[in-house]
Amino acid sequence: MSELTDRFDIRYDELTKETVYYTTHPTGVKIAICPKPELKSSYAVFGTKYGSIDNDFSIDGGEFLRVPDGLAHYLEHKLFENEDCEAFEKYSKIGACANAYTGFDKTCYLFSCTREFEQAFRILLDFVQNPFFTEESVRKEQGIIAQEIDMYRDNPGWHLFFNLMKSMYREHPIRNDIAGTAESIAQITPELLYQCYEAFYNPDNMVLSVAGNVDPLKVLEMCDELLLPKQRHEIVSRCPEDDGTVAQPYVECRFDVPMPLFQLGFKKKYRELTERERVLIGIVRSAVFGPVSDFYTRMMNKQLIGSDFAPGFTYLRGVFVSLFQGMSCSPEAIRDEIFEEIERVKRNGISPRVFECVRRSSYGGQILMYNNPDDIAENLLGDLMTGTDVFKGLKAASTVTVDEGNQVFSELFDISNSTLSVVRPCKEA
Amino acid sequence: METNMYLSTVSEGITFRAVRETRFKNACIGVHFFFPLKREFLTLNAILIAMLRRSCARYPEYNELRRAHAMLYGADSDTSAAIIGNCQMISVEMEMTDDRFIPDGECISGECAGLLSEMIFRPAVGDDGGLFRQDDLDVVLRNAEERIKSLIIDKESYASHRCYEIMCEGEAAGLEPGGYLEDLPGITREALAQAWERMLTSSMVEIIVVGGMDYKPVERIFKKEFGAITRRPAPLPTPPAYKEAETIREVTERVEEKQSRMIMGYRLPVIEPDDRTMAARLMSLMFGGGTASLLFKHVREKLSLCYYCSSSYGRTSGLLFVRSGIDEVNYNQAIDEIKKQLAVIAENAFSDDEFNAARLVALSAYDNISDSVSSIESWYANQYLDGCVRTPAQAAERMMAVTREQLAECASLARLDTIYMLSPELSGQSGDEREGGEEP
Repeated sequence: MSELTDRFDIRYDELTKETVYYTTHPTGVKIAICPKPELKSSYAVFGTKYGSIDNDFSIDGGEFLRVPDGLAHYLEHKLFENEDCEAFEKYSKIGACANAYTGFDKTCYLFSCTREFEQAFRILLDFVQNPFFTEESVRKEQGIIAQEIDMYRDNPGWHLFFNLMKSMYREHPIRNDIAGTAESIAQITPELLYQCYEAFYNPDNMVLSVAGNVDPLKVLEMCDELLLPKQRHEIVSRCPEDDGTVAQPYVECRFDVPMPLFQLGFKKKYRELTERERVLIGIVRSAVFGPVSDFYTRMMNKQLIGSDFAPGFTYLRGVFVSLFQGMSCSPEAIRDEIFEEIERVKRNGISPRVFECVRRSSYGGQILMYNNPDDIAENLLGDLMTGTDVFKGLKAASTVTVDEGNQVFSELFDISNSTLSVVRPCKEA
Repeated sequence: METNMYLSTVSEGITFRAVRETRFKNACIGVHFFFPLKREFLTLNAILIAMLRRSCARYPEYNELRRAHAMLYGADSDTSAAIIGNCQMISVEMEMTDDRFIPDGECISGECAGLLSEMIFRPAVGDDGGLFRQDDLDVVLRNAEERIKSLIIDKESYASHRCYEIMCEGEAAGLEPGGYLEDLPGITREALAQAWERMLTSSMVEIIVVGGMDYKPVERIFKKEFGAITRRPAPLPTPPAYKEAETIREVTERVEEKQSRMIMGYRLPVIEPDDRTMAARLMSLMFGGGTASLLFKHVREKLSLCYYCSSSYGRTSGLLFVRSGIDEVNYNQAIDEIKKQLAVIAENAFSDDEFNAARLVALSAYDNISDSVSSIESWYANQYLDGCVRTPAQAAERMMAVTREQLAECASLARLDTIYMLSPELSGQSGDEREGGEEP
């Protein structure tokens, strides 16, 4: 036990009966481990705070470098291939299931397995730390990624979202597809990949989280053996300044859809949110606009929304948008109804009874986040990247009040700073 | 690990299965109704089950019913309709937080089971005293219409749906589990009331509880409810017979899109209760079941022809589908490579590493089933028609007994039936169909 307390900052939570072990490894990698010995499966995710929006950066105070859009995603694809053997092939030999994803502000490599955890963990740490790019292999990937880009562009939801972002942000790189374009990825070279790797895959920028049937000390021993000490770099990734106002209030395009799709976004100037505020934002959105609300039933009966109507939230460095999405015969009419409801709730407040329903539901949701290794490890990864304290969301869901909810709600929606994005049917009457 | 199975008969044709699992923070209850598949009742039953989630006599308004769920710490109920072999299964399921994690020692599992039974046994009543409310029916029909019309939005699912329709016309597998647009106008409250009556009196039923909760009160609730009903359950039909593919049909349909979706539909004479279904499942895993598969390795990684290429096999239909997203110019090359990889398996020419990788992927999948209440629940529900119920561990043991030769035999039995392409529109062209290809 003493070795555990020596090497980890240990947090136990009475409500979930879960323990999370934290440490910052001597190499600089931040680590979180949540053992679940009662389960068969384990999940590990190794991530870097590097995503598609990091396309303009400087290393150690040097000049800023503007790289082609889609580079972080391209790098994610290529890292799976190293000199001796592809990582997928190695994983497949032990029955582990591996994947990776690139977001706007992070790139993550993960696996899940029910046996041979140690071997799978070795593969993960090995390939993520050993890049190998050649002209030929970089060129070869273009065909696969071009197909991936085409696949996204066939999705009207993709156009809806990026049209919304382009209309809300004049310059922020959230405007750009994570995978880039056929033209931008054609500019990617092995040298650029190595340069970005060196900058963003340095241990200070990386986090590792593990959950499931694992022994925390054993995991840390493997980290001691496998995490490579690397030269540390100071990275500054810059996003253009944003004045917090939307560029235009309406945008539309046409697509092969049966009826109009819409996203309505409310923009706020970016600021860091506490975990309590995040929990409150989730609760007030559901209480006022979710299936428990009078608004939802009223709009259903007016035939302005379908069962896919849902509030959402896009929040990352420099971006703060609350949104609503769904299908509607009249996106303008549902926008006006949402505006009215916002003003009404700002005047009259949220129903305390409905707030309490959703608070309880949020509490249940927070408990269930500690149910399976995938969710636990992904949530811990997010906490490590944002510096959030574990179990804080659960504590917030236990104690938030309707007064706090009303305060958050009144700040969240500014009708004069919103954009409606619509995808209309090609063959509209 | 504490696993304890309890099985009882609630009423004629109704089994109650409880799997006691204390490893999780949630629990679930599933109630599954099985009918002989009839085209005339397909849409009606799908709408009926959706109506049960919409309201009940105690909570006639949708938002009140959702609030009742939310108050139970976010208990969530869902309904679904599926086709299994020659049967239709409609289900109501509820997931809830386990009582041990509810503050102040509150016990919600009994209330959750009570709410679920209210939804099933006491539908909302209209102003005229008849069952179901017209307002709810209007919303559910409109949602169904939107869902059916929206199939085209997700091109991958749409291509798959079209391939099923074309390849399995006139067969159970070619029917749409969620129902048909043209049936919606004919669905009335009266028809729903009759369908509800049929569901309670003449379907075969399996009730499954998984979690750490005391299952006895749940069993008592359903015994009492079903005890008050006179039941005449209809026997369920046997799975469909194998239908030989006579010619290879190639169909291309064009829509506005950038990428082509190609589906290759094969038929295997290996349908439950055939002992070789395990071998066919393992064969499909090795063929196109993820990143360890031959299709991923060759079609995607080696030839860079697509972003995805995978296969799936249905043990109750004997159908094997290969799905991929390709550039249309690579059509022939992709087909040739997919056929080549199937031939590698049929000729028993795959490596030991590839065989072992498929076995390990299968083992991992079975292990994962035991790691969540909802997957354990689905596991037993989906075995209802098999006549023999196995635990995931027993199924894994059977799969590990499959030999290379059995796997090769399954691949050699696969007959290509249909190649369906959903492709970008060309100027002045909207679709074409070619028939009369040759067997591979």
